[in-house]
Amino acid sequence: MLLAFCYPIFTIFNKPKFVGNIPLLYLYVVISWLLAIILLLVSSEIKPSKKLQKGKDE
Amino acid sequence: MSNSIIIICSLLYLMLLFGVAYYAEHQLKKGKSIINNAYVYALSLCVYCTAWTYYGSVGRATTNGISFLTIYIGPTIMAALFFPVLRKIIRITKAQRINSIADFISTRYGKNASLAAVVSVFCIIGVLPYIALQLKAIAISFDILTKNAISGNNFFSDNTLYFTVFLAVFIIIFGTRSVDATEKHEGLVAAVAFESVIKLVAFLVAGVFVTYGIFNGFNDIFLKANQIDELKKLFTLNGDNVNAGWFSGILLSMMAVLFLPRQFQVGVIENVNEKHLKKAVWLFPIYLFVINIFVIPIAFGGKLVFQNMPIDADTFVLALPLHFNKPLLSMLVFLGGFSAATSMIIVETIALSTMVSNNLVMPFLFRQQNFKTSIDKSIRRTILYIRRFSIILILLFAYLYDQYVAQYFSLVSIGLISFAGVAQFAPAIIGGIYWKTASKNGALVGIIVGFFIWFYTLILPSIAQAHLINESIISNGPFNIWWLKPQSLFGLEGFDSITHALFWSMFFNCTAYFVFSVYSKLIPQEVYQAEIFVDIDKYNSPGSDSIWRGTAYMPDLFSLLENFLGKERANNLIQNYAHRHKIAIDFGSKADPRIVSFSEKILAGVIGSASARIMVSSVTKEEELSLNEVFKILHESQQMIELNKELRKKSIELTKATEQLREANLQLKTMDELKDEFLYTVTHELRTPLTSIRSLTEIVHDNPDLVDEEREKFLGAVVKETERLSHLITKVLNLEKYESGKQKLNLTSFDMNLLVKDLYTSYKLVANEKAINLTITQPNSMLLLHADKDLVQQVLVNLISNAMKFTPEQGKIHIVISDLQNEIQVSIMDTGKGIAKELHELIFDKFFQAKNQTIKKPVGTGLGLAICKKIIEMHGGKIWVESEIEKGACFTFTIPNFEPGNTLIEHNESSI
Amino acid sequence: MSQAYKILVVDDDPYILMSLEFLMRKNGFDVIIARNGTETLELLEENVPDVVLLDIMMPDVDGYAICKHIKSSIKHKECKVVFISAKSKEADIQKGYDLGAELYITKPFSNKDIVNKITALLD
Repeated sequence: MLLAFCYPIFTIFNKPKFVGNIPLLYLYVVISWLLAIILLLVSSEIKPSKKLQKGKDE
Repeated sequence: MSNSIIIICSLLYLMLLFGVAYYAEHQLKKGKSIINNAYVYALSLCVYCTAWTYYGSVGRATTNGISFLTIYIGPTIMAALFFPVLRKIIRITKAQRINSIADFISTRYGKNASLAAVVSVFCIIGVLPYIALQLKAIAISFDILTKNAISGNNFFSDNTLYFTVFLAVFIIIFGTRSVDATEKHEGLVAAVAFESVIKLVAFLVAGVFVTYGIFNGFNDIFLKANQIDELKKLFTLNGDNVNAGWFSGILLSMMAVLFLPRQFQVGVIENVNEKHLKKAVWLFPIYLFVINIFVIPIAFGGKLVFQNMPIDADTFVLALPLHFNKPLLSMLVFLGGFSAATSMIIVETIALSTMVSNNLVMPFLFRQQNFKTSIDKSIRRTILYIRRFSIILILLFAYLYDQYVAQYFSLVSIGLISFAGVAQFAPAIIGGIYWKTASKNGALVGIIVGFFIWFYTLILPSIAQAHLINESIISNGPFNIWWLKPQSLFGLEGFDSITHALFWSMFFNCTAYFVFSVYSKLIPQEVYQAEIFVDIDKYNSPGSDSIWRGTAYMPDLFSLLENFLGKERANNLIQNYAHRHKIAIDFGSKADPRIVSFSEKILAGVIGSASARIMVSSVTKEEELSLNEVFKILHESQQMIELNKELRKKSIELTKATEQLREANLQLKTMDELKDEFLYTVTHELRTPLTSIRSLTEIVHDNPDLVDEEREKFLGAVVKETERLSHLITKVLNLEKYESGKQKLNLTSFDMNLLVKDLYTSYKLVANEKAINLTITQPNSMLLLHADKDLVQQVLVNLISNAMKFTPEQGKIHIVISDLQNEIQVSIMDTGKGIAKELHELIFDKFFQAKNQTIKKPVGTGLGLAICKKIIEMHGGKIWVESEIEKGACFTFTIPNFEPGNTLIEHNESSI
Repeated sequence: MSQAYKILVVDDDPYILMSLEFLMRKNGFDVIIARNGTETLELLEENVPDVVLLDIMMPDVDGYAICKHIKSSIKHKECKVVFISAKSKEADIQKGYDLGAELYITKPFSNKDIVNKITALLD
C-alpha cells in the first residue's frame, strides 16, 4: 500500500495532465486511496471473521 | 455578526457537549455503555482531525497542492497495521493496567521511573504548542466571524480565556471522576465522538456550498484554476526531492496516528473492546477520506474568489461563506472548527495530565520519605487534586503560549513539528513489543538523542527566526562549524526541514536504541517485562504474572490498597482475585506473592507502574531475583498456561463425551423400554386367544359326555381363536419387518383408481349383507401410482374393514379417491361411533391401548393402523384421522405419485 | 351345598365368557354373565352375587373401577372379587389386591385350578 503512494509509482502520475477536467495526480490519489480503504474493509471484515471461526473450532 | 451571538452559540454548543457527556455517564450508570460500540470508537479516533485539519489543510493546499494529504494517507496505511500493532498494544495495556503512552514505555522497560518522566516531559514539550494552536484557531475564527476581517497574530481576546476556563471545567468534571486512570472516560469519549460528527458535517456543508453553490462543481473549479498559473502549478507536486517530502509526511503521520498522546488515549486507553478495531480499520480511513474531499475545491475556490484580497488561506473555509453573506452557514462552519479544536484540547489535556500527575508529580512525592509515611485515605483526594491541577496547568500554559510566545513563531508547521516529536517514541514502542533484547538504556538514550536532534533541527531554527537568538547559528552553524548547521546537519541539504529533521532524529534515535540495547545488561525486571510485552498472547492470562518474591504482610498491603482505592473497592478486587485463583487469604498474615503482584498492577492503574513499584516495595521486603530465576518463573508460568489450556480442552472434550454417553444411554433405555412394552403388549394380546383355546379344549377334554352341539360350538371357537392367533402373529411379524426396514418395497406402476374400484366391488357384497350403504367417488381417468401394490392394497383393506367393523347397520361408508397434483389421496368415511380427539394420534401406535390404559380398544389386534401408518410412511405419504365421538370417522392417506425414479427409493432407504 | 352360590362372570371376549360360563354352571354355580362394564354395573343393581369373576381390560368401564364399586357398596359387602386378567405385571396384580380383590388369576388359566381356587375361597 505504501508503495502505491510513494516513489517511484507516484512519480508516474505526478504530471500536469488531465482526465476530463480533473488533474491526473488528484484522480490517482483519490482512486488509490479509495482502493486502499476497500482493501482494508474487505480484509478486516472477511478475513478476521474466518479466523474467529477457526478459533472457535479449536 | 455580533460578538454576543457568537459567544452564546459557542456556549450553547459547549452546553450541548456537556449534555452528551452527561448523558453518556448517565447511561453508563444504567448499565448501558455508549462508548462500547465500534462506531463510537472509530469516531473517537477521528480526534486526529483537529483545527489544524479543519482550517490548515486548505491553507497548505493553496501553497503545496495535495501534499497535505500525506497526513491522512499515512493513517490509512497504518490502519492496515492496526491488527498486528495497535491490537497488541491494546492487549498489553489492558493486561498491565497502563494509563498513558509514557506509562507504556516505562512499564515495558522495567517500570523505570526516569524513562516515564522523560517521555512525559517530551510529550508536554512536543504537544503543548499544538494545544496552543487549537486555542489560536478558536481565537482567529472567532475574530473573523465578529469583525469580518483578518486581524494580525497579535489579536488578543479574553474570549479565548473564557473558553479555556470552560474547557478546563469540562475536562475536570468528566476527566477526573475516578482515581483509577485506566477507567474509561465515558462522557469525554462520547463527547469527542459527537464532535467528530459535527466537524465532519460542518466541513462537508461548507465544501458543498463552495463547490456547488459558488462554483459549478469540481470540473468548473479545476477549469478556472487551470487558467491561473499560481494554481495550475499545484496540480502536481513540485520542488526538489518532492518524493522524499511526500514519503516522510506519510511516515510521520503513520507514527503520529498511534503515538500522539491523544491518539494513544482514545485508541488504546479508552478502547473498551479490541473487537471494535475491526470496524475502525476501515471506518477511520473513510472518515479521513471524506473530510478531505472538499479541501482542494475550497482552497482553489478561495484563491479564485479572493484573488487580490489579503485574506489568509487558512481561513478560507470560514471566509467564503461570510463573503457570500451566509451567516447561518458561517456559524455552522465556526462551530465545526470549534468542535475540532475542543475535542483535541479535551483528549490531549486528559492524556497529558495523567502523565504529569502519574509520571512527574507522584514519583517525586513518593520518593519523599515524610510524604510516603504520611499516606492515608486522603491520598485519593490528593491524587485527584494533582490531576485537576495538572489540567489547569496544562491549559494555562497552552493559553500563555498562545498569547505570549506564539506570536513570535510561525505556527504553520507546529502540527508537523509535534508529529516529528512524538515520532521519537516509535522505536521504543514498536521495538518494545517485538524485540526482547531492547533495553531501558536503549530506549532512554534513543528517545533523548532523538528529541535533542528534533529540538536542534526544528525548534532552534524557529527560535532563531523569531530573533530570540543569533540567526547566524542557522546560517553558519554554531561556532561557525558548517556541518552543525541545524537545517543541513552534516551537510545534508536539499530536503524540507521536516524531512531533514525526521531523517536525522530517527537515524540517531534508532541507532542509539539499537546499540545501547545490544550492549547493556538487562536487569531481571526488564527481562520479565520484555517477555510479557513481546509474547503478550502467551502470558495474557491473569494470575500468571508473579515474579515477585519476598515477604509481605497482608495488613500492610491491604491498607496501601485501601488508601488508594477505598476500602470497599480494594476488598472487592482482592477477594475476587483470590477467589479466581483459589488463593486463601488471611488478612492477618503473610501475603501470597501473586496477591502482591496483583496489588502492584492495581496500583499501577491509579498512579502509574513506576510509582506503584515504589509504593509496593515500601511495604514489602523484596528479595532480588537472579536472571535465571526470572527465566525459570517465566518458563513455568508459560508451561502452566499451556497446561491449563490443554486441561481446559481436555475437560471440554470430556464433558462432551459424557454428554454423548448420557444421551446414548438414555436413547438405549427408551428403546429398551419401548421394546419391553411392545413385548409385553404382544404377549398380552396373545394371552386372550390362548386363554379361550386352553379353557375350551380343557372343557372338551374333561367332559366326554358333552352333547355334539355343544362340542361343536366349543371346537368351532377354538378354531376361530387359533386363526386369530396366527393372524396376530403374522401382523406382529409384518410390523417388525417394516419397522426394521427388512421389508423392501416391490415398486410397480399400477392404476390406483382400478385397485380401489376392485376393492369397492368386493366389499359391496359384505356391506349389503350388513345393510351398510357403501359408496365411492372417483375420477374417470387412470391414476397411475408407482408403489408397492400389495402393501397399498393391505392398507386399503385394513381401513375399509375397520370401517365395516365399526359402522352399525343402516350406516354409511363413503370412499373418495382424488388426484392432488403431486399425490393421490384416499379417504374412507364411516358413520361409526367415532374416535375421541385425544386418541387421534395414539390409534396409529401399535397396541395403543397398552399405554397405562385399562380401557380396551373395541375390536382388532391393535396393530392394523400401526402397520398402515408404517406402509404409508415407507411410500413417503401421510395418514391421519378426522373424527368426533358419535359423528363417524374419516381416515385419509396420501401417497406421492413421483415419477418412477429415485425420490421414493431414497425415502425408502432413509426409513430403513 | 344348601343353596347354590351366585356368580357373576364378566369378560368382553365372547369365547372366554363362553368357557367360564360353562365351567361355573358345571360346578353348580348360579351363573349370570356380563359382556362389558356397563352391563356389569346394571346387573349389580339387581343382583347380589357371592362372587364376581372380573376381567380388567374392557372397552367401556375397566375391571378395577367395578371392583372399587363393589367394595365400596354396603349391598355387596359380602361379595368376593376374583380378577381374571391377561395383565400379568406385578404392579397390575398388586393394584388388584390393593382394591380389595380376594384373588387375582392371570390368563391363560387352567380350568381345574380356577374352580379349586374359587371353591376354596367360598368355603
